[in-house]
Amino acid sequence: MRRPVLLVCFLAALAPPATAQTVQVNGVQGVVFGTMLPGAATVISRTNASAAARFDLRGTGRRTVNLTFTLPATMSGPSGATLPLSYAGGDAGYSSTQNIGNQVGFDPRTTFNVTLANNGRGSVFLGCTALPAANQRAGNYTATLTLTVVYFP
Amino acid sequence: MRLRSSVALVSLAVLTAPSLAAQSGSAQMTGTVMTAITVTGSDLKFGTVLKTQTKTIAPAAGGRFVITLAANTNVTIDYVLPATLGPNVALSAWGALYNTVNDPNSALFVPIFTNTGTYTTLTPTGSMYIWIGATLTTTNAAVGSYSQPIRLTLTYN
Repeated sequence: MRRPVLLVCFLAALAPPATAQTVQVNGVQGVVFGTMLPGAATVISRTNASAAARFDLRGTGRRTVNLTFTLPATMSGPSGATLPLSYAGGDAGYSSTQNIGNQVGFDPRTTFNVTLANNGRGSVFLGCTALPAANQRAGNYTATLTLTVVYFP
Repeated sequence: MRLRSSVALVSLAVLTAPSLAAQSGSAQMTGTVMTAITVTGSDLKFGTVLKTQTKTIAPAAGGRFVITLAANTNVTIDYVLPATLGPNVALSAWGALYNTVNDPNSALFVPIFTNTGTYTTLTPTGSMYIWIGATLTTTNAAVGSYSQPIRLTLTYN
């Protein structure tokens, strides 16, 4: 009577360890504002190939993934100066073909679900607006933009 | 016997189910804020003139613009000069001196052939000084005071 139970337990011990399903997220480019003038807003469109942020995704084909941006509110500059950033409802976009000219727009301030292409790839783009003050300190400013991706259960 | 086997198989399935792990990628957002351009000016004054007279003010003794901006950065200067100060009060023969330090004696003379125009330049010091002079000609002009603006507009290229 005890043999079958022992056999099953043995199989369980031989089973491979659980593995996590992950999707690779590659930050190709951040938002590039270039030269800005004090007091003049600089708007970067998500369709601007040379200036919009781009993240390339690689995972399992046809799987739905959940996208969540961690959006910096400011960029940091010289001597502790900060430069405000602003995000609008259509500032983010997703392309399953990884074509910046063929995006589905979404609000980067909220999570968004997308489906990876058959080959498991996709790209996420982001634009936003920098708002230097009239007395903005001159110099270089930077901020870290993060995209977190997880398979939608 | 059957019950025990079923329980064991379910446990096996749970042990091998993959987890859903979040992955993140980051990228740097970058930008450079230019030094704000400031322009202040002092007047080009002809003083008192007769109803009919020609009077020239040399640039070194004329109006002056003091400009601050980012060093070593190309900037476009658009200017608009008045042709007259009023009826029968004509302006002509505009001339300018340009320097990156506050010294008209070592400044570069810039001829001005039209009343509007554009120059592109840069300064290694982050400062520009422009002196402007002109010739005023009155032809039986009415008594009174006359003034017109001289406009400089600077834009980073």
